[in-house]
Amino acid sequence: MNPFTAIVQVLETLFPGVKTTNTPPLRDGGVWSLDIDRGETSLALEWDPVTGFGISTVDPETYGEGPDERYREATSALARLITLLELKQQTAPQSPLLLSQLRERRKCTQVALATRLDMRQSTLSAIEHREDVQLSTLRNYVAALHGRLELLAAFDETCYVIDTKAARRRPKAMTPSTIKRWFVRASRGEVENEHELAGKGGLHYAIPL
Amino acid sequence: MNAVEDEFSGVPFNPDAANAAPDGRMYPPHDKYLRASGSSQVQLFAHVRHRTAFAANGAVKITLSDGTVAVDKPGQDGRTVDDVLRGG
Repeated sequence: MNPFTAIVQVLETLFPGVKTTNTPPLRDGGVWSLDIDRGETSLALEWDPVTGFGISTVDPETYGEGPDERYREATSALARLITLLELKQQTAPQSPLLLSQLRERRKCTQVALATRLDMRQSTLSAIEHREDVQLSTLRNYVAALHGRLELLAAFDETCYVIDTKAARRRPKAMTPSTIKRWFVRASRGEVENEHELAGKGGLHYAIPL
Repeated sequence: MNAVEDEFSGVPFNPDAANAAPDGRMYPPHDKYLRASGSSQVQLFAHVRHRTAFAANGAVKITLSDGTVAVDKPGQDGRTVDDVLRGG
């Protein structure tokens, strides 16, 4: 039994009812591929004896690229598959998308998204071209596209989803001088929206006038 | 195809592209992705999220993993990949 068929057996044992379609290569040394369908989650697994295992969420919007995630070891690939199936997660594409590409894939124009975020189109454009974007800004951006921001910490053997909400629930205290600085910026129109201020903890304080 | 990609993609040809991460350049399917097609006249390649079939008459068919047919171009004689597979 090769590592690929072993993974298939484990998945079928752990997830009764999962549908798998195993397609062997035509020639020795070729790539094996497996389609995995479990209700809302559809995954594609391939095993290349040279490069290892590739895992992708099945997304009809994109094709023509390699697998989203690669794993050298069968155990790592299996662990990731189990996580994806249990938590109904999406794989993380190898080729990261620019924010503008993400917006285009969601079929949304800059004008429409700027309106949803209650900001000028020029501000949205600046965000899309910024090299270092705040988490809160990213979260709002993705939410306006009707998605949710998830952060992934990727290691050779596995990936972890980072919970960023905990930090949002416990805003750090702002000093009076910080509050004053933010209001000066706001009066100049430099604060993009209330969410940016909320991200700094500003909306959690009664501000003395 | 390589000449076109050389001119327009701006990405240098990587002879080991089949084993490397995507580099933004288009490459023809590699033999290691070959699958049994059921006909000696059709070569079938299985890739992530899609299958690509080439018939000896030049017909091309790309089918997405959900069954959607993205491309179904007949060959020089007007026959599609399905026609060739049926022996028509």
